[in-house]
Amino acid sequence: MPDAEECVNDSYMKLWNAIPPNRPNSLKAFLLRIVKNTAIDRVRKDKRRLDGAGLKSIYAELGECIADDRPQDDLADLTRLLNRFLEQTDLDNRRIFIKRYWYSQSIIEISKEEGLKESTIKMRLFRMREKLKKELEREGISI
Amino acid sequence: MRGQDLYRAIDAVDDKYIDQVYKDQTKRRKPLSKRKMYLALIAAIMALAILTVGAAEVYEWDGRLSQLLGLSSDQRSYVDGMWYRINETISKDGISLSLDSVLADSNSMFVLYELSLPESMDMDRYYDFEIQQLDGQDWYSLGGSLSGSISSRLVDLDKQKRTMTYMMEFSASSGDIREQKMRFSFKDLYSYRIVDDEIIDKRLEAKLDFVFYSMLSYTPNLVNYEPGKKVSGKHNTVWIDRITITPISLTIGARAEGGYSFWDEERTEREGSFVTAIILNDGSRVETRDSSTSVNIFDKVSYKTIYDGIVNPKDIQQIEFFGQDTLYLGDLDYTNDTKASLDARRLADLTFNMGIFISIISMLISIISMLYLCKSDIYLSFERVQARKKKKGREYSFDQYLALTNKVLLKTAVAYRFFLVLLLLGIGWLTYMIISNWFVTMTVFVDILLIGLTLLLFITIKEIGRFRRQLTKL
Repeated sequence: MPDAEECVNDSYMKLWNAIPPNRPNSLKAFLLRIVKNTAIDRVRKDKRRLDGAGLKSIYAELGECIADDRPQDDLADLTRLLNRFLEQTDLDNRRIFIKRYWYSQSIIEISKEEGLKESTIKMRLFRMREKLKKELEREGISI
Repeated sequence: MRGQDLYRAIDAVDDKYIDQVYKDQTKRRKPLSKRKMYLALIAAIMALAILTVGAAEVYEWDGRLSQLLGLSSDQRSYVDGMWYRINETISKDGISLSLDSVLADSNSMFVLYELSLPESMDMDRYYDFEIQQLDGQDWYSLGGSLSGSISSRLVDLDKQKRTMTYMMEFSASSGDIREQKMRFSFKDLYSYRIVDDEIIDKRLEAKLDFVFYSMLSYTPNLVNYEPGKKVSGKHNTVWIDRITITPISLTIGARAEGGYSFWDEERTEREGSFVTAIILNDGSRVETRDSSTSVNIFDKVSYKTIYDGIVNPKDIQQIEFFGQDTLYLGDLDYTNDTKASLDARRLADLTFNMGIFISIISMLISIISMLYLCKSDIYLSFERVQARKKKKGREYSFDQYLALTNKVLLKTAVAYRFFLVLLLLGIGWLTYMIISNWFVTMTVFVDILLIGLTLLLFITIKEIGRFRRQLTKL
């Protein structure tokens, strides 16, 4: 708990420092992003806790979609493609995707919130990853 | 780590997608869980059944049958909804048979039919059919027939019109004939003379096979008592469990204490009739006919009689047993048998009949699959199959074998899901039936037995699920 409280405090401090100069379109999304990154930074400091936070499995899942020898400078391109991919995905699946890979929620949490079985969530995520992989391949980014 | 890069890229996706997640969630209605869906389905079906109670059809009372039974206007009102008109005629070789109308309760029936004869037949002779049959085919079961006694009597003869009107009486020894499809069958007409009360000169007039089909209507005028009281005769002591009174018949279910005997121990003195009199509120006695008393090996006593006339069930005040003990119905609570309870009983039967059929099939599949797959090591089992396949010149990998095994078990799981819905429906209906009747009949007992069996299946299939998970791990 102290970790979580410190994260919140740090996040508000970062938000205070970031606005201005930033003028976010969505304050909520901006704040969430800060909180998330602060929390991840804290977890990364202790690598043993990386798996505990569930990030390892998330990285592994996402790793199925993308090539190892990808050049380092195409992060902006990737984000652009991801935006396009999310735009083309239906609302329900998009929500599940974001919950898993942006909010880093566990499968169990998502299944409870969505009222679906864990296996259904896993299957939907698998299909979306497959679709994403194809999109990335088409753009020459994936394996 | 390549996944980490993609994760970073996802982190930078457009704000609107991040924002949208929980906005959608608050707008979206959470889907009903499966359990809630089943409950909603049961509730909907139960509501439908309750609503249909008011939809029972009411038929007009037919003057002719009423006249033949000698009914007063009051008596006619008791049998509203019990009368059913068929009005169908079949003819062959100048002989016509018309099935006119039916008056029925849950287990007794009066059927009025008319025989028209051609000029060639002598109207001074008596005519009858060699075989008269009645079969009630349950709408839900695979077959089944009624058992009971049939008797016919000539009630009207019109030599001018060359018609003879008969009244057939049927008294079922078990089962409920309401809303059942009846098959009335009349075969081979013969004639005879009666001289000094003896039948003489019997001869076959025509080879016939007349068959009528008709669905009996629902009869609302049933009153049920559950006295739970003891009555005694000279040699017997009997607990009266259930009395069903309708405007045309009386049925009693009882248990004999220490066995039922129609005689004393030395077989010198006979026990009196089980029911010796039915006494109405005004003190008058109701005559009965075709009474029957049967006792099974568990000392269950079943008594059935048809009155000589029509009686308002609520007018019966006392029943006299063995000519010496009386049960006052006025002291007891009664329940009216409703269409909802009949429907509930029938649907519960249907659900469980279907349920048990599916469960037997599922159980067989489960047991065979489990025995086959669980009794030995999966690798050994694979090797055996592989050896067989090799002979036919085909082989598959262990993974393929696992996939196939999983597929078989998955199909069992699908059957289980379908069955579970039926089971839930059945439990719903059974609960409703018990609540609406407040008594435990043989049907309820059988249904409880079936629930037990289905739970057994449930456990069996859960075991399969566990085994499947083990397979998946392999």
